[in-house]
Amino acid sequence: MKKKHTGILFVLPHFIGVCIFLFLPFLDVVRRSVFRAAGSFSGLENFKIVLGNDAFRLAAGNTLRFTLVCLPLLLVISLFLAVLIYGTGKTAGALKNAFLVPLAIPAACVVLIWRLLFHVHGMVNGVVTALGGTAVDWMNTGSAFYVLVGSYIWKNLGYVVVLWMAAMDAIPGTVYEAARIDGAGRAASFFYITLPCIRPAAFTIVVVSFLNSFRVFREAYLVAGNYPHDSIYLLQHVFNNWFMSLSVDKMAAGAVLLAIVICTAVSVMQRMWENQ
Amino acid sequence: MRRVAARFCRMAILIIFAVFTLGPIVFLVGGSIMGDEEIKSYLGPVLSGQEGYAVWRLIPLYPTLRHVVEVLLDAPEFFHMFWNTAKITAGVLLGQMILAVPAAWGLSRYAFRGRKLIYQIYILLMMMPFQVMMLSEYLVLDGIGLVDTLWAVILPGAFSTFSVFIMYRFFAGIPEDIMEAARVDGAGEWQMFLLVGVPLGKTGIVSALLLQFLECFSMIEQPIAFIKDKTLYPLSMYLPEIDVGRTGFALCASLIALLPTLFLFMAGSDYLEQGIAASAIKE
Amino acid sequence: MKIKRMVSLMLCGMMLVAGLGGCGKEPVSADGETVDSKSTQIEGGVDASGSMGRFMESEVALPENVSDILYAALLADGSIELFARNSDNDSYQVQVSKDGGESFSALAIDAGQIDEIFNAYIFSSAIRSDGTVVGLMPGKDNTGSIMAGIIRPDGSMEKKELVIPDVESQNQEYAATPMDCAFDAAGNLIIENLNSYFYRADIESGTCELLTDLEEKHVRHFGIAGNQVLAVAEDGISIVNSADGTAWEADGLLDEMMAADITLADKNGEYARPLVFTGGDSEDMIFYVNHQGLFGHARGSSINEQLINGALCTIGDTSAGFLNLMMVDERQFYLAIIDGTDAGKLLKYVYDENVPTMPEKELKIYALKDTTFLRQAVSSYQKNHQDVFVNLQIGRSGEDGVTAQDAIRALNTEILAGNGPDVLILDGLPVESYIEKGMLKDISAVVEEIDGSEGVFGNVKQAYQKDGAIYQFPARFYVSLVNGDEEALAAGASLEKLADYVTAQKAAGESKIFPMGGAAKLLEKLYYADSAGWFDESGKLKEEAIEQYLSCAKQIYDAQPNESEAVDYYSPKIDASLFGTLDAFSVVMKEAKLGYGTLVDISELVMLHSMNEVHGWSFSPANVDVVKGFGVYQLAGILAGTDVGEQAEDFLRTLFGAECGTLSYNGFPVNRAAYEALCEQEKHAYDGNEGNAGVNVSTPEGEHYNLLFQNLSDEVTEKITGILGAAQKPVCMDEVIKEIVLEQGEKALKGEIAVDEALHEIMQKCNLYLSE
Repeated sequence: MKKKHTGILFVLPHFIGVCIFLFLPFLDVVRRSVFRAAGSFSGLENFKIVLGNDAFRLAAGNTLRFTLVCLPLLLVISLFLAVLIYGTGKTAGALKNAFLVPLAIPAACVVLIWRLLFHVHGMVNGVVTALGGTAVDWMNTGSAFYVLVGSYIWKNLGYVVVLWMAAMDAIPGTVYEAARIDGAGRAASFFYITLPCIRPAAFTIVVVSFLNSFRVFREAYLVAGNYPHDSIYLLQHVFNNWFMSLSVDKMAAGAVLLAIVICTAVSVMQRMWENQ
Repeated sequence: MRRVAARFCRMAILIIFAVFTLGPIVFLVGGSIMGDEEIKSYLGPVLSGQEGYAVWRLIPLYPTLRHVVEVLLDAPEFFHMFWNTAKITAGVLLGQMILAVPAAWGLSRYAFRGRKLIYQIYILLMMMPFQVMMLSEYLVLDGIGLVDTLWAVILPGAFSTFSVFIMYRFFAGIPEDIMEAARVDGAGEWQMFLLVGVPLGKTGIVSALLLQFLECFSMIEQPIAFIKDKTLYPLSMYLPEIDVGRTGFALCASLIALLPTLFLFMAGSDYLEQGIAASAIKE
Repeated sequence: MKIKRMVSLMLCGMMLVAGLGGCGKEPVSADGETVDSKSTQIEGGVDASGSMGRFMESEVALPENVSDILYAALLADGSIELFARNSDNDSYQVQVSKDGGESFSALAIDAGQIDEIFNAYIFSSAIRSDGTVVGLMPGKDNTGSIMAGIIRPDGSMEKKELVIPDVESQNQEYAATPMDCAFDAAGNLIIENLNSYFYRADIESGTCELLTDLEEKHVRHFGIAGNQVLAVAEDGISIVNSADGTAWEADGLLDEMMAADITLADKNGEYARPLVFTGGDSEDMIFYVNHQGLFGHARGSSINEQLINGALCTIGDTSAGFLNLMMVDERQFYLAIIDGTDAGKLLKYVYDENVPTMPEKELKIYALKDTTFLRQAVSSYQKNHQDVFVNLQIGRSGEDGVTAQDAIRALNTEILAGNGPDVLILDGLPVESYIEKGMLKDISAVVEEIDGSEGVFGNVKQAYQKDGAIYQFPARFYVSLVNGDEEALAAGASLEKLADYVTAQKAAGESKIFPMGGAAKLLEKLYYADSAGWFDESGKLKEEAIEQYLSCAKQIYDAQPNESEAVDYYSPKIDASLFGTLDAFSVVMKEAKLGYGTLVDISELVMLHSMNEVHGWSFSPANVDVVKGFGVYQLAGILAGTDVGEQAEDFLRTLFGAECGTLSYNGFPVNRAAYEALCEQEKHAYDGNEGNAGVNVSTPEGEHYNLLFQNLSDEVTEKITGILGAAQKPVCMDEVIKEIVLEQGEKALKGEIAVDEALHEIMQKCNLYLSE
């Protein structure tokens, strides 16, 4: 880590663009959060309104719950698959592509498939009733939440598998070789070599997965509308609906609150990762 | 013997998951060559309130190529939009390669004041939902006069902080002694980036670009917000929703729109496999 | 050193990015090759650089008894001749103007003879440059001949049989159907039959010979420019020499135009089409009009000059279809059209070099959905304000499947960024939020002005007055009615009574009581009748009101067989139909005991009245015991930030004015003068024509039912005026609430969830919505 100027020069061109196209807009959002929609300064009033708003609280709770359920599930399943593929070697590489496919399928199709599966008259209910169960309205009961979780995992599995595999790829083969000579089994080399080596990458992966948990919104919206079942009414619904009714002040305040939470969470994670 | 059994087991699990993720493709392929009437008869319970439950056939009873012909020959706008998507993707990826890769390198390998702050800002920006930033971004783009041009979606995409974040980790993982060795050999900073950083971080670069590519192929919100001229809409806007009467057509269009991405996956996977193979040789 | 190298590399990168220059909005080059077909809009005559000179449009006043124009032509001597249908009877007339449309004189023709000659439907007609009119009809018994009725300039008439040669090789019935015809420069009549065979006929001798056969092409219609026959098909335009039948090489530019918009091949309406041609001085010149404007193009070349920009005049009105384009010289054109109300019009375009090429002022009008009514209003406004460029923006064109929410979000972004439209058609938009946030301007001055001159329904005005200001105002409104016998009328007075009535009838053995059509339709009908009363003073949703709505709907739904759903949409939340209809006719068809729903327009009132006269039934406002509600259509407002406020107000004057009001589409005009005019018109619509107009249907039991339309009586118009004038509250037009209620209601009706569950869901979602 040397040559300070060079480092900045590498970063600067990109950073300037980021400032113009992303950071400047973000500052504008921050500015809006302390002004009323009509334009007068309001201090922290918007934040008070937002924090006292039932819709926002419900959505924040749901979002948190969604994140807490999704993230561990996704990370564990994807790591498991990545290890399997990695262990199976070249032939299984092609399978990795299969996991990436959901990302490429247009949202409209995903929505259609969802409806076909989880509609009251959908295929899932067809199977359920054929097996003697009773039909469930999946999208309009508490189960909507799990449908959303499932679709999030379905969609992002490939993403995360690719990232895990790239991380494992960076582990020099010699390390495993040495371990094998020392008589370590598969499980041992996984726990003592693979896991510690991919730990730095895990941070990236957690953040990316977290990021993608925001992106199920379009599907959720297309399937269930602006006002879906209680359990899948997420922050994006609130932000979106606020924007629809031109309540930009509230939206900005909500966004700033979200930013604060994200920043705190990320720096806490970062600290944890660095300290270990 | 046990090895074979274990291997079989692993493959079985993978295949089960692959079926889970590949299911929609099978659905798309089937629907693309199925007549509208047949589709209606299967999906009627969901789409038009008939009694019973929706069913599906993997292979249509009466296959037809009508939808394929319709998409390929009778829908000039389909290709027009495809071309727009190609332009957007090319612009975004080029921007990423030229600017984001060095930025990730600079952030991960050099200590300078503000480095941590920049990194934090990048993560924060990456996490903000688009709806929130939309208005402010529009104001900036409008100020520069880019609204209603393809640049309005290319530039924010090209400067996306997401790929920097991904590549950062890969560059950071390169052992310092390799750098040191290169430095001893008299390599300049720029040479080190090109000759050490890029080759060793290429899995990271490829992963980031691949994900960025997917982003470009599925963007919907940005074009709606920043582009008014419908002749500039990308392919992802061709069928953001599916009509009941045109389900077959829509499925076929989706399938065709999906093809470039699938080809890229195959090409990209070759690349990644090479990486895996290379590390195997090292053993 | 290294820094230098890096900088130079960065620069290289920048240049590469800049090399992607094609991504911006580049002007299209004249040959239209660099950019694909879709954007081949050559902007020859239009640029914003303040250049001068534009064709100005004026409408030629037509003689009074002309209803439809069949054909219009410019004769060799410079006079204009029209072949038209009479407005007072089904016969035809020929009108000639020698002074460029200032005055017309009718050609004296024998009324009896003309009816005898044109005794069948005229499929197509044409006028030769000497003034001879030809109207083509299929031959007797479809024997492969076409009948031509001929009216000569001196008023003499003749009927000739044009025998089609070699008819055996084609579908014979189609062969004798004359799809389209026109005269070429030499005076030969070119005829296209339904098999896309082209013939050249001499109407003097009656000979008819094959010109060319384009059966493979499926030609929809054709036009002639000099001797060039331009046969329009979906995949391009074939150009054939009318003298010898040889084909010219395909014209890339015209084919590209077709590829970009295949609707240009549809011959819409009876005689109108979306694309017409005429020739110029030189042999290969082609002038054509599509909805983008009038263009001059030399065959095979890349020259394509836009002479008239469609967006600035009636040409851009997509609800209109074109009949004939006539060229006096390069500075003067005539265009005959059929507008959105099926009325024939003759437009005159004269080049004026003292007018700026593009109007300096632009009026942006935004609507979520395209409607004929709005198009009419825009075209009417544009005609009277040629100094303003009207930019009509449609949020959801329906072609790209942008959701309403996406469109509104984009609109909001523009509004907040100060790039918003000037006039908003508020149907489907979050009006209340706009008003609350001060986005809409007070338009009470405009409304008061119209009220002062032409008058508006006072109850509607009152309903939209808020603290002395009016931020939104509808162009049209409608009410829900119940139609039937005394018992049915009494039942219609509230949802509760209606539900009890249906149950009682059911118990009495009736099975078909309420007009059928499925759960969604039932809910929507009741919604329009009931939702005006759902809110209390403070704007809160009344739970008991919705509970009653749901339980009544459920009771009605359950009392009837609902085995089939007539219409259902894939996604009711996205594209719900605007109106329920009364379905009064089901009573006659013995499929219901009463008619119930919104009265769509005055023509439905005519039907209702005619039916009631026969059966002794009557109508009364639906749900009147609970609430007197009305629905609105084309609600408009002006954005507060507009910089063309004056023009925006002018547009509202047009939209709310008497002229637009008389277009009887969807609902009744809020404009009093227009309303009176419509009523007056329907009081005499069937004078001297009784027994001619009506409906004839067979009931499921096989009985024939014949309903003849009658003039509205004073009594009925007074009654409906009373009902319209007594409505107090607008129906809840909040799309979010409507969507939630109808979606949950449908589930409850179909038994997927219980009524109280649906109620709970509705209240929870609506309260969430209201608490945001």
